[in-house]
Amino acid sequence: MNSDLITVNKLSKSYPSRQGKISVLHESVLHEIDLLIKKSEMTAIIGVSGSGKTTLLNLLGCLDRPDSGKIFYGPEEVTTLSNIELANYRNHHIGFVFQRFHLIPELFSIENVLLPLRIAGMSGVEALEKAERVLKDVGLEDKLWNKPSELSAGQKQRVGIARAIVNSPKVLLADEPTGNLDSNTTNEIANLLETLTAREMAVVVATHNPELARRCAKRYELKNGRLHEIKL
Amino acid sequence: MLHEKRRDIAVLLTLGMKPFHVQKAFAFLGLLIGVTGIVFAFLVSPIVIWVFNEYKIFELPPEVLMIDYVHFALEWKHSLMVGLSLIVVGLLTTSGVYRLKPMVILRDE
Repeated sequence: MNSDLITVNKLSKSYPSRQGKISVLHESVLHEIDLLIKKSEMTAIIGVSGSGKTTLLNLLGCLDRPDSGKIFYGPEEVTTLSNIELANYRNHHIGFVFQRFHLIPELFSIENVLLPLRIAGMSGVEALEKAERVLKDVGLEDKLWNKPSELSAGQKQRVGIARAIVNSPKVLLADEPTGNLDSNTTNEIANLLETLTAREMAVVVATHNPELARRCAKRYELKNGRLHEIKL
Repeated sequence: MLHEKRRDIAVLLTLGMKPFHVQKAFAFLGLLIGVTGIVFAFLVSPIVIWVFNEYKIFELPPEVLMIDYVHFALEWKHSLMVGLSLIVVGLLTTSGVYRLKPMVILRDE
């Protein structure tokens, strides 16, 4: 069985950067990147701030389009999909986890988690049951009806992960998932991310944290717009 | 309101919500606020106008203008036009949702 999940071919992206009042230069952020992400594997993307980690995650997450190059999810090329098809693709196949959690503050934990299910068109009762199940899976069975302001940083990140995996995506993209957490909580979150790979999910983390990177099966460094594999 | 809620909108877009649906939700909310404002204005303004006219709130020098106060009257056509213009402008601003860059917002905020 082919375990290749995401194949990235010669991916390039540049952004306009203003020089003076008139001239605009295109600054290359990613330059002809090749990458292979496999099922059930944790991959770390490391690099200094501004090296293009978030840009790469944007592209892998179908939130932005490359200037050139291709991204395949299995046999399907996603770079040619329309915006509506990409939104559907994100909803069903990609989960996002953020450094600052980005939970909707007015909603309870369970309501935050059921959002992707409701966007996918699932009925309210069914979505509520599934969100409850996933929150129990991440160890938050006693926090279903708490608002984000009533949760610790680690608990907020667990809710964020529950929201990201509730639709059983193929890949979880985590942008600095432990950036706002202490070392104990970082360890807990890293353990949780590892358990997801047992469900055939690929986990891609952009991180500054060497401890989290060390726990990944593959590690890449983004430097000067190019991706270099760090051999173990 | 779109600017105020841009972080939440960015989250919804990353979760796979289509920009059209976000726009629809904000358009509905804008419409609700606009219509409530118009109805409220139509109910309250006759009372305010009556008070202004009855108590001659805005006095004028009669030797100059031949009238001693500013007389107010409700022009339904004008009021309706102002109300509808506000709703149209509100609906047009919701198109801003298509220009949002979700990951940039979520990274920076």
